[in-house]
Amino acid sequence: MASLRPKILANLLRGSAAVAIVALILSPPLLAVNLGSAAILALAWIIPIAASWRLSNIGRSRAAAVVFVASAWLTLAVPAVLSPARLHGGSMVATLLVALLVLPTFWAAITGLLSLAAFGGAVALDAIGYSLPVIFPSSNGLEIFGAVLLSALVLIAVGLNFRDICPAIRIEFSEFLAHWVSNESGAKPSFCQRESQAAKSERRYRSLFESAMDCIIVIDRNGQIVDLNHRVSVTLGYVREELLGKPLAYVLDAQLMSRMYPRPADILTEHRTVRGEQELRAKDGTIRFAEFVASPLPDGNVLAIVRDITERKRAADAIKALNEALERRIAERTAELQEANQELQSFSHTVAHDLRAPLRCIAGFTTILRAEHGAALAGEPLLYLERINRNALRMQNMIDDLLRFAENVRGTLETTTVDMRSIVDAVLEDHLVQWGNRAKFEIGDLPQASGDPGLIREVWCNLVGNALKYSSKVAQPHIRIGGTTKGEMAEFWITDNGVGFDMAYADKLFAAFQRLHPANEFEGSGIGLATVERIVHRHGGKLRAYGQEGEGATFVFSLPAATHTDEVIS
Amino acid sequence: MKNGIKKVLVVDDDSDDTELTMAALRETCKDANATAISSGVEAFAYLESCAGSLHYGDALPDLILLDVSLPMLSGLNVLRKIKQHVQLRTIPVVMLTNSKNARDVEDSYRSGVNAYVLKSNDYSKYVQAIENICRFWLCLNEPLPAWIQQDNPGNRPC
Repeated sequence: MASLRPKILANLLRGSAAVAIVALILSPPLLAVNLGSAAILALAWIIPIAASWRLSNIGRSRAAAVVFVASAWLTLAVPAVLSPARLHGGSMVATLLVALLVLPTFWAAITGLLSLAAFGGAVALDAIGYSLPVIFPSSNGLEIFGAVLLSALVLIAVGLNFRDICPAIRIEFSEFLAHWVSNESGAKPSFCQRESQAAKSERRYRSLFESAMDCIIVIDRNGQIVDLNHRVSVTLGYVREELLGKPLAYVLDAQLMSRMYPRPADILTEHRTVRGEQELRAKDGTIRFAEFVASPLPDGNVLAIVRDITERKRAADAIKALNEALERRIAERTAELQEANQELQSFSHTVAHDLRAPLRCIAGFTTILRAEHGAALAGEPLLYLERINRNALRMQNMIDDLLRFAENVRGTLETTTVDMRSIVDAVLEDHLVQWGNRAKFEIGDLPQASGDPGLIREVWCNLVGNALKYSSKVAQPHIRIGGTTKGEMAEFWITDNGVGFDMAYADKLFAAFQRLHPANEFEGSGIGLATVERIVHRHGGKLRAYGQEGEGATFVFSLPAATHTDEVIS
Repeated sequence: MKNGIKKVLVVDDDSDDTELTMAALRETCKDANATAISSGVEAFAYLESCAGSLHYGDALPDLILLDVSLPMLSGLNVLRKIKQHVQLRTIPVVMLTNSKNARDVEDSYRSGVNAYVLKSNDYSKYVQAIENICRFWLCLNEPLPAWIQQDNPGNRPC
């Protein structure tokens, strides 16, 4: 065995050289990238290599092997671990910990494996009696030293670049390191870090690109599709390969082409981001509505993010159609209502004029009859004529009242601030001539109200007229008027000392043509209070009546209180 | 202003109203000779025949009291025909009607009516209105001289 040792060692070195040459041929770029650091490490290796060579020459092969292997993984592991640990900004202690414990183990395994392979190769070659004479024809010291140096260089290169050979391992290793070493970021990036970040961002980009819920299409300057994500296939029904390299027009309807604006070249030239809507044609021919954002990419392509809004558009269209239908229906209904209103107006026009014409004849002919044949009709016939005449007049008044009632409950309210006091004064003035001597009027505070002055005047006319009418039988009619503000409403009342009414029939008071007193006792068509009720109600107020037979009556109504900003109109 | 009897044409489809108008005319204008016609078509035919027989005397009415709402040819259309007629258009036409309709009033004025009077429901006021109309149009107002009226407008002296 002892005679075998130098031979084995020589073959081990030769085997290592062979591996190194193969690796050199296989990874020239990797070597080139890290040649600088490899050269430095190789120099650092000269001493242990020379030591192990010296040890083997004096026969201490075991010591030589130990020195060789230990120096191999230490020189590989320390720089390998230091650079990534440093770049992740780890503390010195943690870095050293990883460098001394974790990485040596990792690199020992790799370098050990390589050495084992070389050793195994050497043993195998030795066993078949082959000693690589072509590469190293003689075993002089210089050649062996050269082989050791070369294999060291290769090991360093391979070791340093191992992380570059397999990106997955590299990233995981890098993350593993980051997990162990780093608590903070922001350190100046080194070459390794840049590499690792680029790879990371590439992977992140891919994963974002593919899992995005929007279609992402990359097109070049001429509109050719360069890249697309999975969503495009889902939306348009094409397989990825069907669209790659096709012009963008492929997914646009021919008719829609002219509407495609702006062109990719424009986006690139003007370097701007464009938003818009576009109809796309799916593989099955259906049109999909899409909104897009197109922006230039630094690599001279255009990135288009396209969102399928077909469903949204359909829903919006449905809502729009529904709204239109509703509006049409409202317009129809409004037209119908307007027509009905028109009919009502022509109806009251008919009532006003055609219905009154016969009354004119009745009154007219009775007048003529009395004037021309009065002498012949003396006595009862003349009295009957009077009755006919009186009733014709009464009916005429009723029609007039009814018309006024219809006018009061129709039409628009022209609301403003109303000075109640001046309205009441004006209304009372009309009655003073007739009642001034007999009746006593007492007017208290009257707050301002908000309402239609014309209609409110009508309310007071009716109420004052009523109060006077139903107190006409007492010796001295006493009318009291007052008001107060209750929150948002102003309340007004008018009290008389007239015949009053039975509260049991109070609900009949406000119905048109309903009367609580016989017509021959008190004149009137019975429409006055109905008018008052309608007007007050239209203003959002309420009308109430209190009374007792023979004790007079009180009417209370409310109106919205005046807002102070309004201009006062009396 | 001519002396003697004035001719008044009353056009109203309501016979009661016509009778009232006639009674009012009898009462207020003793020297008025009123003729009543109950349809627009007949009224215009009558007026045209009057115009045709001008040479035989002063057959044209001095005043026309016209109701707006007439069956077939409405009062407004009668008015338009009168005002477009070469010989008839100088006759004063007073609308005597129940219609307070603003449209009727406007159309009447645009068609050249001479006055628009509402029939009062109060008979005494009605009589008063008729009296005023007659006093103004038959007595106060100076009509177009008869010889011009009878002339063909083309031969009118300058």
